[in-house]
Amino acid sequence: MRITRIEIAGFGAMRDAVLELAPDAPIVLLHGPNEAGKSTLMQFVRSVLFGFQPRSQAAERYAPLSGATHGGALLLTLDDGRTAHVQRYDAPDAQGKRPSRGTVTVTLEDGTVGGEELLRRLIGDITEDVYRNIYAFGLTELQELRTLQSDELSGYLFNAGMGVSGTAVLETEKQVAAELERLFRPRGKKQTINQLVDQLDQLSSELRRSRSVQESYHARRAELERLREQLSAAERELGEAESRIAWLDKCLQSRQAWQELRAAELELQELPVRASFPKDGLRRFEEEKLRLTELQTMRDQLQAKMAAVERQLRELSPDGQRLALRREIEQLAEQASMIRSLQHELSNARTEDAQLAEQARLQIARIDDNWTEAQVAGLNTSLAERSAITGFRDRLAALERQAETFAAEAARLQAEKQRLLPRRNEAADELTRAKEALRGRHPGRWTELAPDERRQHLHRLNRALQSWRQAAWELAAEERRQQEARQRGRRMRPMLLALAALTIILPVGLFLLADGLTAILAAAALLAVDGVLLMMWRHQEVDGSRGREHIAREMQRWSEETMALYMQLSGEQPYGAAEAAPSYAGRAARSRSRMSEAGDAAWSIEAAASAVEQLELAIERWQSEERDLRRLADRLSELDEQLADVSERQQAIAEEQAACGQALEAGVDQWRSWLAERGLPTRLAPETALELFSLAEQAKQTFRQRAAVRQRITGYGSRIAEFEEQVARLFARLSEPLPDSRSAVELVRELAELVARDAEQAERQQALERQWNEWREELERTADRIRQTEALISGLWQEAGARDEAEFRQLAAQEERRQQLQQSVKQAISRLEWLVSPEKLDELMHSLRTMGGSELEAEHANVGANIARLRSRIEELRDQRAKLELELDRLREGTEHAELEQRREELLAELNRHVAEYSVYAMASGLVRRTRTIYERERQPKVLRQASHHMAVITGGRYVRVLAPFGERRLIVERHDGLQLDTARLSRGTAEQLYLAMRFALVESHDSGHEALPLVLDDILVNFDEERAARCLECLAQISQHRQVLMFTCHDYMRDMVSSLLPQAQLIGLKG
Amino acid sequence: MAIFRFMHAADLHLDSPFRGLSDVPKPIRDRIRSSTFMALERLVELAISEQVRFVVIAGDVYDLEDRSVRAQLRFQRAMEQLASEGIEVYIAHGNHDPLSGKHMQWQPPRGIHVFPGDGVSAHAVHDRSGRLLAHVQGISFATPAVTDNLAGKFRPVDRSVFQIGVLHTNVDGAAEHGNYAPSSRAELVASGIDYWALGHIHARGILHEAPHIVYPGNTQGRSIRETGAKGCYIVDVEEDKAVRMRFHSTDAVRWLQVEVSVEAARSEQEVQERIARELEAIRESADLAGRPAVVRLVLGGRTSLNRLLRSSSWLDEAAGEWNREEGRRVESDPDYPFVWVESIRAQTSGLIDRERLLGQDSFVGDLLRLADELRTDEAQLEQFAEQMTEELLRSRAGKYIREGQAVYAGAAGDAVHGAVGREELREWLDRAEEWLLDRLLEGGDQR
Repeated sequence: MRITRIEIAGFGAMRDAVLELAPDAPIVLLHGPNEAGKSTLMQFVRSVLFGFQPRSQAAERYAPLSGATHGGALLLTLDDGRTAHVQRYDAPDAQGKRPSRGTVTVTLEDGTVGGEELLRRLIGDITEDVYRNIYAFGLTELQELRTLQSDELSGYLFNAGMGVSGTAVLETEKQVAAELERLFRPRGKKQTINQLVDQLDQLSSELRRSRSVQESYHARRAELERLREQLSAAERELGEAESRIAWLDKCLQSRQAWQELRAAELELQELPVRASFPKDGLRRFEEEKLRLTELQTMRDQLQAKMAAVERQLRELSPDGQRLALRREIEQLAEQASMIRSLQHELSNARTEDAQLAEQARLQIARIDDNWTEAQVAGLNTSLAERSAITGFRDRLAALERQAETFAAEAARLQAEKQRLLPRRNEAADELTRAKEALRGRHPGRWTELAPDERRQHLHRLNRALQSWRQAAWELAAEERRQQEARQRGRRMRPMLLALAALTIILPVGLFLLADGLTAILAAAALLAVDGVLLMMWRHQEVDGSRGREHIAREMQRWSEETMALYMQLSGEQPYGAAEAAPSYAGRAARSRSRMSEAGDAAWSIEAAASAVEQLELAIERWQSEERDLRRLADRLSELDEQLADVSERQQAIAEEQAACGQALEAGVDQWRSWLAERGLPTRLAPETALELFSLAEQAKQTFRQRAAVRQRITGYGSRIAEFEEQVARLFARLSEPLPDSRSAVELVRELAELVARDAEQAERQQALERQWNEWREELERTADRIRQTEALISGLWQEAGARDEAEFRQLAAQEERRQQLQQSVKQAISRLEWLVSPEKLDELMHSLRTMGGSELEAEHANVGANIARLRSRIEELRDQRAKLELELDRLREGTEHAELEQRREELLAELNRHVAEYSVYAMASGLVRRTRTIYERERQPKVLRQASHHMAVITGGRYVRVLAPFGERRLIVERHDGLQLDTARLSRGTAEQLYLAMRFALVESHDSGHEALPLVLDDILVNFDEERAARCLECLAQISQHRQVLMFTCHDYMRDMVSSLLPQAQLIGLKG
Repeated sequence: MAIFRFMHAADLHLDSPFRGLSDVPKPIRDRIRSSTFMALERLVELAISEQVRFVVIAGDVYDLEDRSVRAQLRFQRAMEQLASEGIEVYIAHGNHDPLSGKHMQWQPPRGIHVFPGDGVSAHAVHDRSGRLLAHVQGISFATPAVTDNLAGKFRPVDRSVFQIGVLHTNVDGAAEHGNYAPSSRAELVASGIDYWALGHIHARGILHEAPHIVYPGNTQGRSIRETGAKGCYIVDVEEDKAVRMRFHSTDAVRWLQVEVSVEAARSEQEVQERIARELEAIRESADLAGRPAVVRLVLGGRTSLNRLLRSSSWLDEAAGEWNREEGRRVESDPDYPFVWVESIRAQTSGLIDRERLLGQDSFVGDLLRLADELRTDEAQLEQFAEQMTEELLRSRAGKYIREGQAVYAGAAGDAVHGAVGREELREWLDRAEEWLLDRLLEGGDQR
């Protein structure tokens, strides 16, 4: 976009001014003195394009001084060549408002009229601020870096081409720093890692301590050993002290007993010394004296009792002889009662014997009056005999039963025969009648033939008749055919003739036309054909007549055959179908005569068929009758057989009966002889014999009973006699007469009583004697003891040296006192011994003798104190030992140390985790930093590169690079020697050159997409030296190739420089 | 037919603390704490039940640095128990329990042999009938830091019987362990020893067969770096010196690292469910056989929840929630087979088109390119990390950080960011990048 005309209606001091700018001049230099309106013009251009300044900034608003209309217009040539007229006045707009920035009207070449929107479209989205800072500026703006740092511009300056926003990078860096700070600071206290390190330090020192404790295991064990030794020494000492104090206790306790002992010993020494006094002398004397008195009394009593016994003995006198036989008498007396009962039994047995004799007699009589007892006894009634009898009985009974059966069978057979005979005679009669009836009929030939042959003949006859019928049919057919053949033969004849002619003509022709051989061959072929045809024709003729004859002959043959067969069967001539036959013979003769005539119509097929049918019927009827006859004959022979069978069986039964009768007789004979052998009556039947045997058995039983009774009687008698004899012998030995008047039993009993009395007396006598003897012995012993006692008493006196009892008693009293004293000595010693062991007794005595009571007590107190001291020492040592043992146990099994080690590991793990985290952030930080360095060095935004270029041009290569530290809104220049300088350190001129270079770069980078706005520079080169100003103009010349540059200056040298360096520039002078 | 059987164990590290866990409730902590002792008990039970002829222990029974009296006493009790069963034990001490360390005085019972530190000593092993079965020779660390080659001092006593060498050594300088008593595989193979019973490397491994060079690994995992089944080998030696080995786990608590895919997960709920499902599956797994476990979950896959998951606080909260429940259950049932979550790590990727951003000529593009450059150059990454955390490392925290990382590296005096540390550095870098993208692209249309 270029400004081609400036029309000012009223703006500041200027009014109604029009400036024409050369459209082809790249640079327009407007020069004039101060107040010529240079700044006003620049502000006018800004205002038309972006609006008036607000009313509050009156100085900048440039309201006209004299009441002219506030505003004006710019005529613009757009980059595409079109023109646009932009006018802006402080006037009401379409809505009637009066905006402070004024109302703009844009009129395009094509007549399009628009307002602010159209203007914005033309000049792009550049804000007024940007325009004012980098497009249309004066020295004031140029000198301020701030103007480049507005948000809008910094993006261009610092971030272009980065791909991300610089703030994001900065933000990220801040976050990294924060994270790093959070984790670690070199001398921080609260950071995680720092805290962990603190904990680790602390733990490490604990661990060191713990390790030294672990190491001290051996030292402690040694200490424990030492402690144990000390402890056992102290315990030993305590033990000694305790035993000492126990000793002293005992000394004190035994002191009283010891004093008693001393007193008793002194008294003993004072008693007179006696050689000896019998031990327990007085007591023993008293005892012996008492015993002596007792013994004397006992002696007197014994003597009295002995005298009494002697008196009793004199009164007893038993019979000695009787007593000697006492055993025998008592045995007999025992038997007496048994003998008495035997006598009773004997009389009973005699009675029984008589009864049995009578019974035997009666039983024999029942068997046979004539039989004796011996006979009965001789009869063998054994079981074998009895079974022999039953054997006979059963055999005879069986034979009799058999005979009865045979008789019954014979009777039955006789009855059967009687029944069969009339039936047989009846059947024979019937057969005879039937035979005669059959014989009276049908004397046909077939009756002579066997049934098979008959059937064959009949079959052949039927077949012959069939063949005959076939031949007749063929003959009729042949005759029809011959008729047709004869007609065909008549048609064939002319054709044969023509062929014959051809046979002749063709060969001749051929012979003439071709050669001989062909003609001959053709003639031969034709001749052959002729021959064949002729033969065929002839043959047909002959064949026809010959066939008919043959068939007629056949027919004749079959007719005759039929006839012959019929004759063979019936034995007579068949008769014509219609004729009645009076007799067989007549018909046969007639038929034969007709046959001779050959072809007689009477023997036609039909007649033959009828005759054959008749014949078959006759044969069938005859056969049926013959079968009836055969059945009758069969029945008759069957009845004959039955009769013969019955007769045969009757004969057999008769034989059996005879045999049975013989066997019965033999059995009876055997039985009789068996009976005779045993002397039994032969007429006895087996049953009776059995009964007889039973009776004999009973009788024999009775005999046996009687024999037993008799035996008993004999036994009893002999026993009684023996007894009586014994009694008699006894009396003889007693030398006493046997009184007859009394029974032996009574005698014996009496004797037994006497002897019992004698025995009693003898016993008493013995007892008394024994008693007396005992007493006498005791009396002697008592006397001995009296003597001994008396000796003892006198011995005691002698021993004591006493003459009498009184002296003895005095001595005894002295002795008793001594013993009392000795006893108390003993008691004292035993009390002492109870307190201390006997071995220590001497020691005790010694202690008691050498130490007084107070001394003992003093030592007791002393030792007691020592014990208390030792005990507390031991307590203390034990405590120490327990503590050490516990410590050692802890070392051996304790986990504290291991826990510390583990805790340390855990802290290390945690530390490492955080270190890892820290490292990640540290790396992130490093990455960003390095990338930024790369970026700053190698990838400065295009703007800065461009600015660097301009700066280098303007400063003649003294400054080679413009840098913007990453993310910071400041610039750094790099000198050709690599030194980087902050803008603050640049000289004023150089700083202005830098800012200018930056603006040029920004303007260039700002082009894309919209109109290239004109650059308006208000005397900005004033602080530049000539050389740099010239170089700056070079840059401007370069820039003006792409956009219009308006320069304002009040300096003539400036104008001259421009006109000399930029000849194409338009110079416009402004009047003050 | 085996002529004898022995047990090979190493690195018991009794009573040494477990690493890398914090805020563990007491019952669970106690069970993990006692796991090394439990492993020892199982070891003894196993030796008795398997009726081994003898046991060889190739060093690091306990950490003398920890000075645990308890550990030493328990070990002594265990040895006495084995001795009373007639099982001989051959012990070579290692860098954590050298002879110069403060051992408690103890008169080992008959049959318990501790190898001396001043030279290889050999013992003949006989069977009950007096027949010579094998020679067991070994040497202990006299001081914690033995850098001599001890393997070179072993000589076969009698090649006609089985030769066993017991040594705490780092074969071929395994990078993640302190390079103590270094030796080379070739040297061990050529030594004439039939079975090298080694210790020091906590990962189980059979470096060579016939002759056998074997690390049984430690008996109980103690940190998330020591995952999987831990235990010892039961070795059967046959007439012709053929060796048959069976591994038996002795660990009382299993440490595991498990990857969980949250690919295409749409909600927090879903992620939590997947995590819970995985953890329950671990608890039920036959491999664990009812053992409790400490688990690190690594989430992977592309998900729109990436941003959420990448923020460690969400993961910590998820782990914490699970762990609180486990703590409650253990509280009510002390034998409950808990599955403690050590941590949940996100290695997920978002749906942000990183490639596109990477190609952009923009600040973010520059940032991603810079990160990629660091990612591919380890030295530069280490330098970068060190530079970034310089302040922290210089502070009092520094020594603890170094210590922690040294523990992970398995030896003191390694570089600050050791071999294992690099993995971690990359993870940190990833997280830093994710975090920055999240912040820088916030509200933008580039996600």
